[in-house]
Amino acid sequence: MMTAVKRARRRSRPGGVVMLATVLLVAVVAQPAVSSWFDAPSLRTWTTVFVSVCLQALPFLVMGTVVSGVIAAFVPPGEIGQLLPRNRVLAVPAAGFVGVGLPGCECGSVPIAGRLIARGVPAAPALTFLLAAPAVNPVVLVATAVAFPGRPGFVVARFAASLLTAVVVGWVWLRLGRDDLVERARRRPAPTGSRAEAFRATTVHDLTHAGGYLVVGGLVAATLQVFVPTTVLDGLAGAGAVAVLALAALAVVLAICSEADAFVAASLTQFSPTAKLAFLVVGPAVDVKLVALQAGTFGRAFAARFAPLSFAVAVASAAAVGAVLL
Amino acid sequence: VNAKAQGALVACVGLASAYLAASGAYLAYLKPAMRIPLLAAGMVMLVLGTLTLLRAIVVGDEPEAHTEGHGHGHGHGGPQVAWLLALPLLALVLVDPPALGADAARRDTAGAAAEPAAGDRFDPLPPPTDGAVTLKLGDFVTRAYYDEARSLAGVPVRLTGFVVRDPDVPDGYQLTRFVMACCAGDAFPMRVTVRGLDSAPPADDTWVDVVGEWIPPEDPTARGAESGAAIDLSMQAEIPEPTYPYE
Repeated sequence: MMTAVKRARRRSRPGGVVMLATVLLVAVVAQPAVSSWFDAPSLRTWTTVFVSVCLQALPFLVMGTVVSGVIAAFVPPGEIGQLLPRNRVLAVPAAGFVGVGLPGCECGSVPIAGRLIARGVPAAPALTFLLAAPAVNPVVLVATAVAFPGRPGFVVARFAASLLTAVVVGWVWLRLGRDDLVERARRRPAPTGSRAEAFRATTVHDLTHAGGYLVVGGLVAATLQVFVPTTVLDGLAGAGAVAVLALAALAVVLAICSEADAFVAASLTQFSPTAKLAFLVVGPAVDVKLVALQAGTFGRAFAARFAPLSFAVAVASAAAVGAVLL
Repeated sequence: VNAKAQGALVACVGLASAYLAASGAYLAYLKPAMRIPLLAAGMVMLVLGTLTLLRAIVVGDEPEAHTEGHGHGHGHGGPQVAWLLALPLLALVLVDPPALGADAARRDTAGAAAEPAAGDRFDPLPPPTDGAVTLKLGDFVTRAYYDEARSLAGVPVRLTGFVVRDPDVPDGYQLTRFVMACCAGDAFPMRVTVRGLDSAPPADDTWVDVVGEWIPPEDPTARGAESGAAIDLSMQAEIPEPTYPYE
């Protein structure tokens, strides 16, 4: 009965393509007439940031979904899991070091981690990979060295604190995490048809899915960036735990790509080195764009637990490593 | 989202990205190095989206529904959230957002020029052309903040940026340029206070070339942001917005 109602409703709806084409066509035709509605400087600033965040993430997202599609189409299920140590406690740090070899931003590693779980990799090492890949890869480390000239300690500290975060979160998940929380990723059906067809179907599916959540993240990040005044930071600068928490929270709000965040951290001159380190360690692990992507790939219940866990572990790692190295 | 719409969305986003990369319009949002990745991503999406659309037209939507029938907010075919991919397209078409300007600069007060490597000497200034040394705005600010050898003292410099009017500077404005690492989402403004203007300042967001001399801070021991970066204006010319408006 429900299905019958749903089906009837679907049939009466104009096709998606027709709707999309109509909306875009109307937008193009009406643009000269309505462009003055969008003249408010704040709206234009917001739109610039929103479009920039989406465009910047797009190449990395496409790379991640293409890798995910290749795994789905060409790697037999179970095979990847066998590459990791049989011992689950050791598999977690091993997955962390695999992340070192994958240059890219955090947007690309979410679909890959989702695909790894769908292909039988246990959740804990897959999540460690998810956290490590965007934070400790060579491109990010070089960018950090360029942003902090003459202070190689920052590169070492970032590498150590981010890898520590990824491994500790993996171990905590091994002990306390519930596998039903990643069911959404695991239940992804094996693609059917030829390999090329399987590649196309999974890539397009991942792309539209993750892309939609990327837009959600872009909307939130642009709104927070443009409309939360930066003067709230003024009273929190300096050293101590408050400064560390302030920059950790800023990293969540700004949602800057891990290849660019070191330059922003270097510009926050009024904060202590450990606070800047917290900014660099938290950003690639938890930010509004990333939480949206994770909620889409693994489910909301997962994101609601994983994001606070990653945040707490990242802040603690940054504080500990910063105290030793900076 | 059925397979047809899914394919159309992916193809449209791909086409728009490839167009932005090819036409150079992407420079209002991304750094030049992102051109090839953006173009490649756009082409991949265009091809995959078109194939999906064509396949859905020829074979119908049904096969897609089988592979996707795993109920996480998917209606029939693809996830509903995919519709949001149309939002950046609409934003581009309707608002045609410009590069970050005066409004964004007024909002962002957190960033400051980062200190160069400790103990590093600044390179000598480049030789003057047409009676002034041409510097990036960010270089000028870094030297004004941190150069203990005071290489800027007494040297006419030429800077390029846009105008941000400032009620605290009645005889000038804040000459501003955003410094970008990857995209406009991470850009932060560099500011040089221009003083000694004897007419009304140009409107916000007007791009200008200026020539002037550094005004050293009143407190000679000041370092970093509290020393400020200011010039005494001797020449100002309005120019068109540069192709790449960031530094």
